[in-house]
Amino acid sequence: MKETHQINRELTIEETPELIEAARQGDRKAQSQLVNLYAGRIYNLGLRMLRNVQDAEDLLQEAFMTAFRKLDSFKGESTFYTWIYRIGVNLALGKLRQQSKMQISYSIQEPEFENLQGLSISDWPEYIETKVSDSEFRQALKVALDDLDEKYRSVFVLRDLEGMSTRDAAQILDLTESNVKVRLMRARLFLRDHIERYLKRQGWLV
Amino acid sequence: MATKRDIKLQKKICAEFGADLDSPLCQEVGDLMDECPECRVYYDTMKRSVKLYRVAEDEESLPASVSERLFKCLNLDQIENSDET
Repeated sequence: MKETHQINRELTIEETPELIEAARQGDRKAQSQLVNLYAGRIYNLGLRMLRNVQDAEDLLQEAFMTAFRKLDSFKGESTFYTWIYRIGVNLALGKLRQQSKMQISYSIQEPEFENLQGLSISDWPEYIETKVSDSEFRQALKVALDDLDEKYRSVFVLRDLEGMSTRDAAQILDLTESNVKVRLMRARLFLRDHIERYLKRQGWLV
Repeated sequence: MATKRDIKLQKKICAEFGADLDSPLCQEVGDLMDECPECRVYYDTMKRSVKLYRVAEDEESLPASVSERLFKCLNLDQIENSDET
């Protein structure tokens, strides 16, 4: 079994004003405790946004280096976690923007509910959810998400996987809330259609 | 005739779009669900897709090697988790 570091959910230490103040004063133990608390979540944010382990690790290191370097400017208006999470998202978006200059984007067809009427759209059998443990299926899900254009994927990751509100996602992505909703819907439909094609190829759908 | 399931679905869709339940948009969604069972299936399967991703993209534990390199680059000592602050 792969050796892992405990993630924050399992920890008993909590973020307190005293802990943050100690970290701000340069207390190395306090800084280590903040790393212990949040490294797992920032690493997972990196994995979801950037889609590979090396970039996720780079993001993790940059996020903590930036946070500790700028700790003096942290006003305590939010939690330290919210603050470093935003640093992580901004770093991820910066990397994605750089990468998108070098890549050809996949276009997303406009989903139109009107065009669905009369088409043969299969309902999925109940057992599909149990297939998530199948490694090939997980890989297919991963590939579909990798194929999704970055501008849609960022919204999907922040809203549907990270659980961010529409308002917060709009703010961090510098979009209107309406744009977030539209992009989220397009992302979901793109992924849904990819999954359906995979299910059909596997013979799980008629 | 809309079933209870249709109405529940209509409410979910409207809530998703941030619309009031008695708004023209929601009325339109309700009409569409009545007329277009394919749309209902499409919407349902889209929601299930999101759920599949939430399971497939579940949080991974931080690899020990990644953690070690992080502490090293921050020039911090890796400490055991404890209640002491």
